[in-house]
Amino acid sequence: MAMNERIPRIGIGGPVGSGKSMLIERVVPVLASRGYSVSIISNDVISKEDADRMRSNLATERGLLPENLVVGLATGGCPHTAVREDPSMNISVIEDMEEEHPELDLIIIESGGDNITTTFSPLLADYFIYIIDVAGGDKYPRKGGLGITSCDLLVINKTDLAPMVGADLGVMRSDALRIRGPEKPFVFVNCMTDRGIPEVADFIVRNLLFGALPKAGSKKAGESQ
Amino acid sequence: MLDVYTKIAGNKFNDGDKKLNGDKKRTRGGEELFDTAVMPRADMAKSRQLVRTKSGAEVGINLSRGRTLRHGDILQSDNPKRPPLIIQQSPEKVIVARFLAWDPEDNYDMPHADDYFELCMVIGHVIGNRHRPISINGEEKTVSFPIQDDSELETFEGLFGQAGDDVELSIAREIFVPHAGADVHGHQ
Repeated sequence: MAMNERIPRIGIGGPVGSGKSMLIERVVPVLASRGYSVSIISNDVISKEDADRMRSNLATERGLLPENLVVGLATGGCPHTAVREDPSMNISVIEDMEEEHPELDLIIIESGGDNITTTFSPLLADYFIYIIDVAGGDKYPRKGGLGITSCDLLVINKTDLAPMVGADLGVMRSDALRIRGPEKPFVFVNCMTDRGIPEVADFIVRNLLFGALPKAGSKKAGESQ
Repeated sequence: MLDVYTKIAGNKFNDGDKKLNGDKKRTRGGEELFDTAVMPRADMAKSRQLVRTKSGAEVGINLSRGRTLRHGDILQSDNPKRPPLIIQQSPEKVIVARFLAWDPEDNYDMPHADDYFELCMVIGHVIGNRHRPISINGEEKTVSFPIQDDSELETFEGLFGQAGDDVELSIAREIFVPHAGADVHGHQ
């Protein structure tokens, strides 16, 4: 089998409703505006609703990427199995993308909503973002769990809701630092206002792409069409 | 763009000493002969990652498909000015279970297990059922597996039940290299 260049991959995991798809919908335009070509694979147990929504928003309406580069995978079983134990469904889609779209700078893989032990197989994802939201309670970071402790970047979403649900962002900050260690970063994000989104994009460019410029050059995404 | 290491040139414990003169000689004429990156076991399985080296540099590692890191690997950078990078796996907390008796000829009285076969099966079953990888030391007659908290010692003493009387459990820190025949899909 001919081996194409391996395109860097991000895995995004987190509990149901924490904002995985929304994070992607917010961060892809930032990456596109910096010239990076992105594709998206969205895993879900049964439906392809998230993939359809992201395709409609990012591809059909805004033209940030071709429609066929937003792929929905209905995995059937427990969400984490498709990204950890047996990532073959995802890898098969990725290998097709690598063959047909060598111009891609990165591939984003969204897991189905799952529990705190979600992780990505290192065979599947190079960089693992775990997202939780303040409405889950400010205890969430200190409860640990493999997702929170092992992810490369912890994203804490919906900071605007903190006062309404009695979550203390200071507690979440100190717990995240204590559980994950001072070396491992976390970002407070509000996907409604884009707070923290440029920082997430910065981490992706630095830690996953090692600061490489877009393959297509650093022009705006719109100009490369 | 950061400097990126893409090639595994050898392993310090196999063939690296000739190239590196061991750990003692780190510089020649003030120039670094090699740099070191310390990482937890979980990161050894990544083929692409950013690391901060002991010298303080941020560099990328990008290995070809399917390659993963081993303790002692020596990496070469695409930038010839970057010194070779030695991968050092960090020690982690483990439980070491030492089988108190092994040789059927010795006089140790096994109070509960009917035989060694049963004892090994029970201990192995309990550890595997918690999805822990294992490291077997045949000479010492020990098996070790990673834990996150000291309290797990008590947990496993309970889980082993009567079979636990025939093994001695202790907590240690070691560079844990999982037995290759026991892929337990990385719960730990």
